[in-house]
Amino acid sequence: MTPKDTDAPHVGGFFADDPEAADRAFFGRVTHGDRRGFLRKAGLATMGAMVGGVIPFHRNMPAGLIPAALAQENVLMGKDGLTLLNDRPVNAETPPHLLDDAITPTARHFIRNNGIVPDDMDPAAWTLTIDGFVDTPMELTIADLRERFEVVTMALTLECGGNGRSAFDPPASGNQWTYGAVGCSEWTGVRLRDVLEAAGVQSNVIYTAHYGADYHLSGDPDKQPLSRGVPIAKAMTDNVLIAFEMNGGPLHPMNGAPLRLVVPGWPASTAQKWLTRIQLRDQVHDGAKMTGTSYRVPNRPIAPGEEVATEDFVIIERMPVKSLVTFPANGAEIGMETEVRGHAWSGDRSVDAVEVSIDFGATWQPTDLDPAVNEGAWQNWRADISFPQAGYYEVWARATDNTGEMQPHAIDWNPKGYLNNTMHRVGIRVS
Amino acid sequence: MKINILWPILFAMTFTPAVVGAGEDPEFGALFIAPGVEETFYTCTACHSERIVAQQGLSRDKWVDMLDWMVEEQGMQEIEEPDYTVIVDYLSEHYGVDRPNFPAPMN
Repeated sequence: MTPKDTDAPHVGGFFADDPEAADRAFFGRVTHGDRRGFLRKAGLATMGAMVGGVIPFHRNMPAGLIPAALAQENVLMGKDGLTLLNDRPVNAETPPHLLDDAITPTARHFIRNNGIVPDDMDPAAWTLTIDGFVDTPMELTIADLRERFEVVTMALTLECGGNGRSAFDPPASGNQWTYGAVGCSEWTGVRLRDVLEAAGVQSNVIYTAHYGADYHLSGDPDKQPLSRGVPIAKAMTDNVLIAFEMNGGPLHPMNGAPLRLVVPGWPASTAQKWLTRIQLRDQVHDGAKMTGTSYRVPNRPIAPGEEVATEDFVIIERMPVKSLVTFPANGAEIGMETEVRGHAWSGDRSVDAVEVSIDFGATWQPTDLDPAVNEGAWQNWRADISFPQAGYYEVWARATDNTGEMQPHAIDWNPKGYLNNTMHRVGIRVS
Repeated sequence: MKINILWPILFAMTFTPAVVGAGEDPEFGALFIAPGVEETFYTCTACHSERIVAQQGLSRDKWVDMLDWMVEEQGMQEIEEPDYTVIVDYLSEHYGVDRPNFPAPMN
């Protein structure tokens, strides 16, 4: 979607002659009309699309009033080459060949939103509350965070729990991510651990609860679009950051500006964006998308399509071992010799080896695998490949982590479509 | 009024192979044009884009579960008949498990 310069004048002219009649015709809106009747009409959806979101107080808008923000912004402004899966809420992934950089540029970091982004992302006015079972509840500005705690910069991998969902059969509901809901940018911020220690973690704390400033899609101010948390032990590890810079610049608005959590190696939904509050709890958090079957998998292996009782689902913690081929691109035409390369990661672990195959998995050859630049960063790998003759090949990559776990051939199917870490395949034509 | 405008469009599209092949009308965004698309589009896009609908491939039972979840958890008002059946029919037929209208290339 691109801004439509012609919309506002057109609508404005239309409204100038007889605002109420125009409103009825254009949006189907009648002042003080029956709400159910109103919601069923095209008008609210049209107006919502035009202003880029729901209008929680639409009932109060007088007929004939033109929304001030008629110009729809480009939802992928500041992003480069991402595939848009959904525009309300915005969800977009990065094609693997655009994830070739060792550090993911801000413009190529995926977007996974559950709600409507906040209107105000002013870093100077932002505050973070730390409360719950702490000795000293705190309210901190971003300047306070910088001043009171050690500021660190780390490369940290964030991957959506549903990355790879599109390959599930039977299909699983949700955004149909292929490969690119993953990235490893450089994040600058303070350690969550340092902030929690300053507040004083009480002995009964077992879980965190994270809150953000985004809005629920329904417009209901009492609903949270997403509020997840992690066990306190994970929160106290060295590489969980409260971040206020991304790749040395401001956070992208769709990536949680001006303040977010970065929880590497766990479903990125734990890394709350537009972070406003962290509460410490004496029980597992029960916020939006913590309960039911959200970000959960069955507690046992199941057959594809099998029904599983809700109480048999367990919360996903670390993300499994996985790798991507970022060069060459799928569908590329290439010479008889080439470098192939990409990244590999395994939540809370390191990757010991990445191997590649060009003969549909019959034989495998090792790759040159770098260590992570820091804990929580993905590892870069490369190999020089020679092809025996011209033709069609697939480059397959498989990573093995330091516990011996290797990427599987087939999906460990689960009802909500999480944790697909099957091998990435890239088709190329060699001549 | 709505019906007067819409039916000639649907009628024309049914007999216009290029448009039927594309399966989309800008008026209904990413959704496949077939009976029920209008009810489905306006009900769903009150809160979210139709693009998330068009990505799904669910059985009829799962679509019913999804609409229940929308009402129970997500603040959607219950859809009354006859629209409810029209919408479930539309979703089950055009966004079923065989994914006849899946919008993105499968890898």
